[in-house]
Formats: sequence, C-alpha cells, structure tokens
Amino acid sequence: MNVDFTAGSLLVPAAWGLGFVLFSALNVMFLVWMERKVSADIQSRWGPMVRGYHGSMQLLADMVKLLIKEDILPAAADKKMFALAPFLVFIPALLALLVLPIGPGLIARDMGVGLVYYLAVPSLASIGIFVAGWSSGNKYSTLGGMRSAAQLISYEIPRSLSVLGVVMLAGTLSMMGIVNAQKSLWFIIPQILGFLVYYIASIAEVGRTPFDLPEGESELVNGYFTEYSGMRFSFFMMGEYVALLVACLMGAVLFLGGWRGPFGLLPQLGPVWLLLKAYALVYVAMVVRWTLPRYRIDQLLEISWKVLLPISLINVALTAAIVFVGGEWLRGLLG
Amino acid sequence: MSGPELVVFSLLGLAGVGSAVAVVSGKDLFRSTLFFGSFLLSVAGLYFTLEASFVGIMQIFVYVGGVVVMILFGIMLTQQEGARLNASLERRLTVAGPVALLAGILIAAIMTTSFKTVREVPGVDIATLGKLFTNDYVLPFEIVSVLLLAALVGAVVVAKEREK
Amino acid sequence: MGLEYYLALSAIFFGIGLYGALTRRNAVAVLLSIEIMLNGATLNLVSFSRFTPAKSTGQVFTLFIMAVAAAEVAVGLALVFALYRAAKTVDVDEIDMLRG
Repeated sequence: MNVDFTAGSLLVPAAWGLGFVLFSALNVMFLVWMERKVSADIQSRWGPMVRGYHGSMQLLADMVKLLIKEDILPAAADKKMFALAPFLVFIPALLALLVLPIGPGLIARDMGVGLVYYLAVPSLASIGIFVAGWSSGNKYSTLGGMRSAAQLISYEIPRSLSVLGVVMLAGTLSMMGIVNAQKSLWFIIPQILGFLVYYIASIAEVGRTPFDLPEGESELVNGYFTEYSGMRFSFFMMGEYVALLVACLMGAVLFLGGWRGPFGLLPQLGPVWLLLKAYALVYVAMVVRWTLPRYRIDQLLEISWKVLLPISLINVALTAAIVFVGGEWLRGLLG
Repeated sequence: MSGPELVVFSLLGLAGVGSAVAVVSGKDLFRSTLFFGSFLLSVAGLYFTLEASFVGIMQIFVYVGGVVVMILFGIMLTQQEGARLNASLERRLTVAGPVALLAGILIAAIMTTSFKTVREVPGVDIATLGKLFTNDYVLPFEIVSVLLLAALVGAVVVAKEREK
Repeated sequence: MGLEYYLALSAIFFGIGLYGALTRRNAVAVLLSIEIMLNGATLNLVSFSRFTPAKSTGQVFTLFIMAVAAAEVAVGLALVFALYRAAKTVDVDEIDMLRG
C-alpha cells in the first residue's frame, strides 16, 4: 500500500468528490424537471410553465420550499437512526461514480475490479432503506423497507449475471478496459439479452414504476419515507434520481460504448456522448414509468426469478460458448 | 509499516475493534447489526491496505450487501419486546476473563514469533485469482457451489411453514 | 514489520467474537458474534498472503470462507425462524426442550 498524506495528493480526491456532488446535484435538478415534462407530455399537459423558460426554474423554487419546511421528527422514531438513514441511501449512489469512465483516460479511479465495485456499492442503499423503514416507528414504513430490501436482493442476482457476458467479451473487469474493448462494436449488439436484463433489473433496483412497490402509495402510503419531510425527504429523492442516473450511465458504459461516438464520430466530444446515451436510457425509463401500471409483489418476484434469471443464465452460457469456439474471430471483430 | 500506513491501519483497526465491541455488547439488536456492517467495512478497508482489492470488494458485496440485509430481515421477523440480549453480569465476567487471557496469549505468541516475511509481495490481480480457482482449487470450488445450492434448498425447507 | 500488527488485530477480533458468542442470549446476536470470529480468521489469511510468498492461497481461501459464511447465515437464520415458530423465542438460554 502506498499512502501519501501530502497536501497535493489529497487535493485530487477532494476535487473529484466535490465534482461528483456538484454533478449529481445539477443532474438531479435537470432530471426532476425532465420527469415532470415527460409525464406532462404523455398525459397531454404542459407541466410546469411559470418559473423560468418552460418552468425550468421550478425546481429551484421547490428546493427553497423543501429547505424552509419544518423538520418533523416522529415521536415514535429512533431519532439518531432516523437522521442517519437519508445519508445511507444517498451516499452509495454517489460512491458508484468513482469507477465511471467519463472520457479517454478520465476516470476517478480505474480499479482492476471496477465492475464488481459498481455491482457491490450501490446496492448498499438497501441498508439505508431498511434503517429508514425501521426507525420511523410506523408499520407502513417498516413494511415498505422490508419490501424494498427483498426487491433489491432479488434483482441484484439477474443484474450481476447480465453483465457477465460483457466481462467475457471484454476480458477485463476494469470499466476503462470495457469501454476500450468496444472500439469497433458496441456490446449491445452481441449482448442484447444481457442489456435487456440489465436495464430492467436496474429500473427495478432503483425502485421506479412499474417496480415501485416499496413506496406503492395506494397500499403503503409512501413506503419507507412516509415519515420524512423537508430536507431529509429531498435527500431520499436525490438518492433515487442519482441511482437512476448512475444505472443509466453505467448501462451506457457497459453496453453503448461509453464515451465513444457512434461509428467513431467526433471523439473529442467524449463526456457529451456519454451523457447523451445515458439520458436516452433515462428517457425510456421515464416513458415506461408514466405509461405502465405497477406490478404486484408476486409478479415482481416472478419476473426476477422466472424470467430475468433464466434469460441471463442462457446469455452467460451462449456467450461462453461463443467466446470458447470463436475466440480468434471475435478478437478480430472487436479489434 | 511507515508513518502514513500506520495511521491508516490504526484508524481502520480502531473502527473495527470499536464496532465489534458495539456488536457484542449493545442493547439494541438492530443497532448491533448496523455496527456489524461498519465492522465489515473496516475489515474490507484492511483488505484494501493488504492489496487484496478483490477480496475487499467481495467483502462489501457478499457480507455488507447480502449477509447484513439477511440478518436485518431475521431481526424484523423475530423481534420481541423487552427480550434480554445479554447474559447475566456474572456470566459475562466469567467469560471475559478466559477470553481476554486467550487473546493475550495469542498476541504474545504472535509478537514473539519471527515470521519469514517478504516485504514486497506484489498485489495479486484478479486474473491470477481466477486461474487459481479454475486450476489448483477447482475441486473445492465445485464443492462450494454444491454446498451453496444445498444451503439454499435446506434453508427454504427449514424455514418453510409446515403444512398441517 | 506489518504482519504482526495485522495478526494481533485479527486475534483481538477473534476474542471479541468469542466473548459475544458466549454471552449473547439472542440467537441472531450469537450468529453475528460468530461472523466476527470468522472475519478475524479471514483477516489472518489475507495478511499471510500479503507478507509471505505463497501464491495468494490465503485470498482464495478467504473467498471460500465468504461463500461458506453466506451459506451458514442463510441456514442459521432459517433455523432461527423455525425456532421462533416452534418455541416463540430466540433466547438461546430458554430453549431447553431437549432437557430431560
């Protein structure tokens, strides 16, 4: 281990950290506005129009409202845990950005096990959700927390298996290496099954409709964050949107060539391509959210265990066979 | 260990020992489990300092993401009001003495033994680990997968409600 | 040298876990204490694989132990559930149905 405590070496991580916080805050503001506009479009409404151009400043007003709202601590709550939970939900999503390749050679930390890191760290949010549900001292919250944890665990498995095909084709677990392996062919083409499983499982993991059972308002009031309000509530909301964005960014990295333009177009635009691809995935997720009804809990678990898991296993077996038989041909194809 | 390394090691070690003590002595089982999570994270940090990054990541993936959540489930389903967590003070004291003695003897033995150590064993990359798993240790590997399957089925059978 | 520090720390973890396993009355808490002991052992293995030239066998075995520990927790919790259903308690000191 080489540890270095000089001022210069601490400055770089600090700058990355600050960058991540700013990046996610700005994107959450944009995502919330985008979601309201997409939902309005689908429902033939205008959506927010008053503040700023087409309501683009609406979220600033909302944030001011959330900040000055009364901070309510339920009498039955476990106060310390109740205060801790929003951070436990928000921080894992933020930490995942550490292994995101933004552009050629531009990554906070190119770990040799970057992909496993990405699979492991965001799922820690389930503990925060558990804590939120438990500490609220409210049975709807507790039930919502338990449901959410069950859902996260069961969708973790197909999601982890779905990226195995990518690992086999790229021959590396480093996120940078995976982007580099997609020089001539994006992995969405050979790995279409893996991509579909990854995308569906990711939407389920961030708990969006049609998989938003943990907070199904018609049966659980508001799930694990029923008792939260004001600032603490906005942390949960931010965590949810950052998780969605991270899932889509990583989907773009793993399957859509990351910062590479289509057909090698305009390579100097690296980070812009990445954001465009991620937002295309975000847009689809939003359309899905506002057009499909919510699943029941048994349907939700059935989709994971009886549909996604077999598909991802078939995908792993197929990819392994192709890599084993046609390794040479494949290397030529991938450059 | 040089200065900065020693600082990192001490911080992680203190966090680990503190969390472990909280796990075995706390009065609230839910909090104990969360301290168990922070104990596991500090051990994962120690793995990173030992250049075993894959083991560290798996520690987070399997233990913190899997085992801790499972145990939280277990607590929620079996929680009882007013159940006592700790044994009597008398029993705790009778246990603490021998355990402290054992740990003391272990540490004394460790400190007086001279190990044949190498300062710079290069960090193992994941490809080497993968090759070890599929060549030298392929039989244990397969046995562990069978064991996992057996445990999965067994857990379902044991936990399932008996039909009348 | 570093190895001794890591080994001493893992011995401390082992001791804390042992104390917990012997003094906790709740079955889930006993399970937690056993996991702390296991972590002490795996830290030991990983330290040796770092400081001795032994082909990183220690890391391989640590990964095996993690897999077995996960299986152990699953079965252990299933037993706790079955126990809770049968005896309505998870206090290991009160479960003495086999005592004649």
